[in-house]
Amino acid sequence: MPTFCDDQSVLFQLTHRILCDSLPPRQLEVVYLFDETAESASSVIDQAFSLYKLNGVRRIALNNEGHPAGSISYDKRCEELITGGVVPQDLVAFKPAPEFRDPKTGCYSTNSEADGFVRFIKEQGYTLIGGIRQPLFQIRGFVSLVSALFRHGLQEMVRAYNIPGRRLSWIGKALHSQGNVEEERWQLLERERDNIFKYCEWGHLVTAPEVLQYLKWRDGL
Amino acid sequence: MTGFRENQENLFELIHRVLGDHLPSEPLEAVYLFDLSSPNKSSILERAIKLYQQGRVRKLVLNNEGDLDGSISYQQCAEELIARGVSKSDLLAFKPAPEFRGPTGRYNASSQGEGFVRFIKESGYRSVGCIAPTFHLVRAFVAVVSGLAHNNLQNTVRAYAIPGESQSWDEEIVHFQGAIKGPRKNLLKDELARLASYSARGDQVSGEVVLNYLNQREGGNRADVLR
Repeated sequence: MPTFCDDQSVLFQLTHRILCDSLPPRQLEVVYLFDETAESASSVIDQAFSLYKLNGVRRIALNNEGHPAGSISYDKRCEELITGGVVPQDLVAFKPAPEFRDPKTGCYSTNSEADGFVRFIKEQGYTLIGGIRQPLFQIRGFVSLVSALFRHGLQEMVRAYNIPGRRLSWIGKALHSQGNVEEERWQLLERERDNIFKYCEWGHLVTAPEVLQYLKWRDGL
Repeated sequence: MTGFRENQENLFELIHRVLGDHLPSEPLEAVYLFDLSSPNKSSILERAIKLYQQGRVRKLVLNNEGDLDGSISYQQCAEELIARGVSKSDLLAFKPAPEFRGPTGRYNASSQGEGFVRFIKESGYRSVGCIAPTFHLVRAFVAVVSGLAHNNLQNTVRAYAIPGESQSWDEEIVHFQGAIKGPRKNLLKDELARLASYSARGDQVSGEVVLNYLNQREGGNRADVLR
């Protein structure tokens, strides 16, 4: 059974590398806006605007499946992005993967979003991509993305970057676990860490050393 | 808890809370620019100038001993900030505390944190921040919170962590008073080791103390929800 990380110093390195990832000088081909519940959605949408306006990214990807747990609908997110200045042709959509869903509700998870996004970029032939998540869920978001690259044999073909969403108050309320849990954001961090370890044990996520190895390849000349 | 290696949950939370700290809507009264050594200088100055121009900070604070390897003086940084539009009257300076200096006699993160806190105590500031390179921010912020604790200001001063502009993790740099050279990413292991050892010998507070401080700063009461 794999352990996500059994060395504090590896965890320290990985969290820094992801939370403060350094973008390449070239424009990203596409970034995915991970689905966020209503109280946190502005974090990723604002960051997507900033990046798009600075020509840091060519296209913005969303998933077009309605989320039953209080997130903003696909149509509403598109409308918001277009009103903010994103050209409609630069918005692209895909369906989250059927795997990794909540067995009770059928609701998709971060892993099914990441896997669906990687299938989409594989079909499109994109090799320079990013994911935007609110600060609380960034580690799992990016590790899910890298895990999907490994699953699809793209870990040495696609360069993926983490883009932190706009900062949010750590004492603000946030929904978690398909909308079943509401707590202050900081209170969710322990659960978030536990989930990363649990999903890695289940084989859904690669380990921390594998992510660091991927970053070494990605940033190599 | 006395160290940083004892509790992985605290470490995970601490890194998120510090690297992703959320600034208040009111401008900070004073922000200290940590570690202006040459490889990190542009990252720190850019962030400081941006915050100043956005009206999110009133005063920028430097230490007047220059940078750690002696290559950048206080005067050079002050001139650069003024040339970029910072008013001379909004630039302030202090001396790092004589305690906590490294074996070479040069100041370190703790002497900067302590010196900054003594300075804000004298000046009466209540809402402050520190900017440091991303790889060094956790230790820099812990040094400031430790300074607050040493000076009994942890319940009266709100301090915030501000990361410098992101920089390549692969760039070769010199750090720790010139003792270590290598890609920025390789310094992270030493940062954690130093956090643990400085905390163990009492120069810096523990991760748990910093997390308690952050919750108290936000008006919450972590003691109510601790396991």
